[in-house]
Amino acid sequence: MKASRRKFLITTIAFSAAGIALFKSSLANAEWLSADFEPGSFDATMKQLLKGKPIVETDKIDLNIPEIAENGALVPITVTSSLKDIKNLAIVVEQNPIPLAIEAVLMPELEPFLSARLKLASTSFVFAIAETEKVCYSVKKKVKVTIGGCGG
Amino acid sequence: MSSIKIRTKRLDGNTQIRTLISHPMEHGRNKDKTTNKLIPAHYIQVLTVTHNGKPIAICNMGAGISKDPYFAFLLKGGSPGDQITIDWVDNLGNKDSEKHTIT
Repeated sequence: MKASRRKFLITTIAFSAAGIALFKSSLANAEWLSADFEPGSFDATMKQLLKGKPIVETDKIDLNIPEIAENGALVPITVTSSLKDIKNLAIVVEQNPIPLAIEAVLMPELEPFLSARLKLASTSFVFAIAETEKVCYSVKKKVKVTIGGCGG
Repeated sequence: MSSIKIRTKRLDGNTQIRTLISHPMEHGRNKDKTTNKLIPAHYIQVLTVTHNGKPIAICNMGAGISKDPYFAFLLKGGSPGDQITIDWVDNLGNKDSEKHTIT
């Protein structure tokens, strides 16, 4: 009786240890770009995002976002572009505590199109940044938030 | 039940992939009104879209995305029978995956 209990305990411990190991490895595999999502100033985030590439304002990216958002917790945004060789599409909200909202690596199989829903802490400029081989293209639009959007 | 819903639609020779994920997306600065304690951060960090086994979009995100996030992508071409898989991993290590076949 006692022996079987001990055996049971040992196997349980062994299995839970294996479970923790699996859990850890899955976290490591996710490769989240934590440096880009540091809470900080807008300028610091932009510097991190651009990686030394020059930034050019363009009209070839279409940023579709309401000018007045009633609720900052849910602001629909659609980014489309006629630029051909976009590798990376990022959305940055100037006044958020963590300015970078999303950074999407789009493979050539996808059209330069991304739609999402953002949280806006307050009235702010929203930037869409498209990274190509040599330069980063940006477009910005001001969104007025009438209710504080901090609520989840 | 999976937390991911996927819908696809043919649009002018392209395929629109829309997804809705149920997730709290807490950024860690909200307070629980009853206990007056901060709700710990809980948000999706990486979302991967795979088309027939090949990753086509890898989205890194922070808590600046709304609760129950919605995303839409536009796939060039795409034909009926193609497999679309969407995976997410959050900051607590939870993950989910859902398969969808284009019709």
